[in-house]
Amino acid sequence: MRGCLNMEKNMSNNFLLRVIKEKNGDQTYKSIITHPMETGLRRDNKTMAFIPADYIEDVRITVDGKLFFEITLGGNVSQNPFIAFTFSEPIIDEQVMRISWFDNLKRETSYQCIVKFDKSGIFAYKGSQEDVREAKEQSGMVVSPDVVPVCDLKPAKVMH
Amino acid sequence: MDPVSKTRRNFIIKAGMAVPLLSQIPWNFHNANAMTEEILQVPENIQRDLTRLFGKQAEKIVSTNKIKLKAPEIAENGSVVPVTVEGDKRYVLSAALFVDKNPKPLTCQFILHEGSDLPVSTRIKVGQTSDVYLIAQTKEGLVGVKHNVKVTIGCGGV
Repeated sequence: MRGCLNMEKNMSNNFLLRVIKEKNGDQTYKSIITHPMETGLRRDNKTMAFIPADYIEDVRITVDGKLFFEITLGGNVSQNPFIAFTFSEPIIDEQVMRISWFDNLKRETSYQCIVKFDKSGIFAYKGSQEDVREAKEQSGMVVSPDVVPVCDLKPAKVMH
Repeated sequence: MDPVSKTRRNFIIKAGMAVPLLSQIPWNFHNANAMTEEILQVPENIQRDLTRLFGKQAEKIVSTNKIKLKAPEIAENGSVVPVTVEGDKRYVLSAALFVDKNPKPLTCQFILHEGSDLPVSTRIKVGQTSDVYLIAQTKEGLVGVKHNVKVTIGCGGV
């Protein structure tokens, strides 16, 4: 299967989302992307060779197709980058949130989560890694969205 | 008690002598307002990144208290330093974080589109004790805040 190796590489990519609901109705979204975030300047202890750079360059957060956040990261961000964000208007109905990120190796990974709040304020969502694709325009390969259901997200808890 | 030193005449003479001193106090309040706009001095390596990001706007950075950078003063582990950007969303268009002594000072940049809100937070690496700069792009220009983070255990090769 084409791109199988790349999928294995991306198996380590994982995504966690938790929504914290405060008393005044504000929602804080806390997310963790599992990623090594190597700067390329660190040396291996045994071989003393540089560990190749592998970090996220760009994170985009969209809700229902509308772009809300565009976050440029780099090697200076800690391993497994943690991003907490808020929206000016809280999400009430069922919404599709999509978080996608680019590597410095031109890999794109995106997660699709369905964020849903009941009237009683119970938060429930299910999400999956929607597609992993590798942009290889230079080598002439066509970028195709291979749908790979890799892993389900952990159930989120609501904190009051 | 010396009665001479407490007379009204004596006071008036002394007050008259003080008049030339008054002229040395800056009474021009317009100038005084301009003085409150402090310019934030930024190191050269950060200035280079700022020019790349914002172009001509990067020439002047005003220090402000409308945005806040929440970070620990002493970080035990330099590889995980939590930082939070707080402020008014209507004022801020984008916020960028710089660590002065890291090999690449530009750490991350949050571009806030319509509907997004502050605060935003993340965790960054700080190699050694250094200043962390938060530079925000507003409608009036660039504003900035400086915060010193002391690192007891750094992370090798940030």
